[in-house]
Amino acid sequence: MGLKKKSNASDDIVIQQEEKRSAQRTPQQLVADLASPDSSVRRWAVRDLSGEENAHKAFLARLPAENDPTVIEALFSALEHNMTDADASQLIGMLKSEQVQLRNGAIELMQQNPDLFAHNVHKLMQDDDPDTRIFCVDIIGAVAHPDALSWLHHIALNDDNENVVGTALDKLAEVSDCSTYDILQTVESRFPNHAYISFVISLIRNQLGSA
Amino acid sequence: MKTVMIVDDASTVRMFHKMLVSSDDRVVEEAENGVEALEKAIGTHIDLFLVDVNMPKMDGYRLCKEIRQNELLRAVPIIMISTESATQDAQRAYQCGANFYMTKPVNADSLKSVVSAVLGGS
Amino acid sequence: MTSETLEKIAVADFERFRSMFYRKTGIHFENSKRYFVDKRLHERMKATGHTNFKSYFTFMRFQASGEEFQNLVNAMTVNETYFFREEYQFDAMTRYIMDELDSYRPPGEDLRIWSVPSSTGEEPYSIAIHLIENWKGLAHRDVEIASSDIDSNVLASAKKGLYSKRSVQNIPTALVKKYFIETNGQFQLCDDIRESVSFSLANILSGTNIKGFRHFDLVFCRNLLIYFDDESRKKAAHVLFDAMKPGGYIFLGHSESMSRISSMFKVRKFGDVIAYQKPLVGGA
Repeated sequence: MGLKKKSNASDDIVIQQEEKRSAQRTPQQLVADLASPDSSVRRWAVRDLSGEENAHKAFLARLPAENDPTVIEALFSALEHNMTDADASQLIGMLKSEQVQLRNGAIELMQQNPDLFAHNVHKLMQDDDPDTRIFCVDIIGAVAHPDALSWLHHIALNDDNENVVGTALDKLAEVSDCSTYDILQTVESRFPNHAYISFVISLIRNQLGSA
Repeated sequence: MKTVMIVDDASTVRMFHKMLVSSDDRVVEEAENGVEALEKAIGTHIDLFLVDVNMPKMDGYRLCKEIRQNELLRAVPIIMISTESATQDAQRAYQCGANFYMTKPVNADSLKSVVSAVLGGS
Repeated sequence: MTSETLEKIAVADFERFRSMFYRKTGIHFENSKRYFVDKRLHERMKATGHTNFKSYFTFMRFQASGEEFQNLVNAMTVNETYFFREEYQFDAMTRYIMDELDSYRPPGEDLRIWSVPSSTGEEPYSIAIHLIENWKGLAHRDVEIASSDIDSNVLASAKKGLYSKRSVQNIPTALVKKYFIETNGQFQLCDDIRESVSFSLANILSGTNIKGFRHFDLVFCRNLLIYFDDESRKKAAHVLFDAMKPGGYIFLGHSESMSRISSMFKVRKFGDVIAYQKPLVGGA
């Protein structure tokens, strides 16, 4: 017993244990595997389907029904590459899901796709549900888009919900510039005596004041 | 010294809550999400968790469940803080193991009283 | 452009940068690290043609490719490879983790360890030496050590097992004498240890090629993921997850954390040492 020696010290040994499959799986079989009762079969199906045509469609269809956190993560990771507008629309819909992991996954994917997000941002900023608008701000806060700052300003100046505005201010604490300074007084007057909002505005003023 | 861990992905919310609960006999730890909270909390002594619901990687509900499954952390009180005000959200928090549920924006005095009640004076 | 013409970084700007860097990487810079951080920020400002920090920050923060942020991360994380680097992880391995893994597997089944990237071999060989020296379980259990890298040159070097004094300086002298032969200031690793690691060429992000790497009980993936962008990091996490047996463990580098990558693994701690475990049942 002990450390195993490689059989030939001078050769490049490839340590691979090839998955012995009884038959090559077709894309149709893999899509069916997405609903397998075995979560590891589902994980491998996601992996093997990645890159196939129409894979995104199958992944998005599977997500609402999936309850294993590792498979949900695999599905979102597989969606990350080559996302389309159609994908983005469906993901935006998931912001309203009761399942937190689905919402989080959708937020992360939109954060990684600034242009697709930009096509949807105005609609999201006007959504009836303040929580959806908060998730929109969460995306804006991490997305690499040149309009992110002006979107945050717009929300801080116009949204009626204190938590939505509070979230926008939190993001502004990271990306504010001198144009932010001009809006702070107005924002503060919209929510007078609001402890958190005053706190963050004060923080932003101090940051900008040190310029 | 009592240790409070504040778990929230918004850095200014962590700062704000830290300001409200800090005192001479309290240490405040911070984490950005549930995974980081577990990395910092497991194996250390925590007296109270303040946990946001919506966080990336691991949300507040899942963090609560993980805390309640951990031998050393399972008895630590958890105050869950969320923007969602529907009754079912509070119920869900309690089912996951939270002891208190507060909606954002938290009333500063309410938060301070609950924290003091849990930790025993300030 | 000399460093004198670069604007000093204001405290508030440093704090804002620090908060953003922590949010994205989980790495927090203490105030005592200001000199270190400022120096590297200035280097990056110079490299990208920015004389003031605000304009550099905006450029870096909103760049769609994320390339400059990655350059910045690379600049902030110093990575040198040498024997027994981050030794506390090898200690956790031999004190706790190997016994736990041993308890999960039936008699006769090998325990398999994967070290990726192998670089010039210091890590997998350190694992081998630590196991021989400190894990009594070797008496009844075979352990296989595999190690991979994307670079065939470093693999060739790793197989040779010839090292500089700098590389071995963390190893206790008695062990250097036991496992190396010194000639002209170079240290040749003994055949026994060299032959206990199997090296292979592999790219963790390659798709088809990497699917054959399976059934590992323990993975060391240190100071690799930090160089990837977010998308690749997550993809790599899935590759590593699938390469592991249920109950298997993975170590990341000291400044890396799953908290910015994935919640698939269970956080485990051995003293202060963090390791991540693939769940035992059902992968959930």
